[in-house]
Amino acid sequence: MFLRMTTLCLVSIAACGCAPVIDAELGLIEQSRRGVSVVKDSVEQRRELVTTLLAKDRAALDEAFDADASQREQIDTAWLLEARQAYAAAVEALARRDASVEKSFDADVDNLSAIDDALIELDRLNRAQRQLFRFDK
Amino acid sequence: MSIDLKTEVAAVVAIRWDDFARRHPNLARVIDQHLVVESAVSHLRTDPAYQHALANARSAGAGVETVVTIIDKFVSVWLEKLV
Repeated sequence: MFLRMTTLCLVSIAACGCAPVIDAELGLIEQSRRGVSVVKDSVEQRRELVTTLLAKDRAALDEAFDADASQREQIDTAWLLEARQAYAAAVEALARRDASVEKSFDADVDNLSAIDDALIELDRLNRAQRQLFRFDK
Repeated sequence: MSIDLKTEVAAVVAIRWDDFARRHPNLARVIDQHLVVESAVSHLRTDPAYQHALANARSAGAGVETVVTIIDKFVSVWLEKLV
């Protein structure tokens, strides 16, 4: 009997004491998710900016190719072949760099999504726990 | 015999660069040599023909000069294939 009373008292105390803590945790989770969302938006904005800058490199390459050709009095086959090789090598190098940059942004977004998923799960668990204490009351 | 592929490819590209820049000044200004070197190195690392030639040279006890010649040749082949 004594043991049962003690247990009941402890559970009641825990229930009364835990609810505000859970509410505080839920608030922190919400803030964290908002923070993650802000960082995600920032990453996407940076991706957009970087993509624009990377595209400019490609445009500069096209302009340079045309400028070299127009400044040349006579275009022989060897010169054209060399220009095309260099142009193609540069295009491939830029494509490789762009893919690597894109991959890095994707990794950032994936990591942030994983953090958000974990926070959603934590939120769910906390809500379930709070519900449990409400039943106790 | 220890050869750093990236250093050797960079050297091969650098040797040709001045002549290239004379003939194609605008392209030379906008092309990032380092990116081109990275691209060439990445290609050579996965090129079976290059790997085969390198293995043959090594088993024959070839010196650094031979290996550099092989790298030079395969960088040229890579450039030709790009066009």
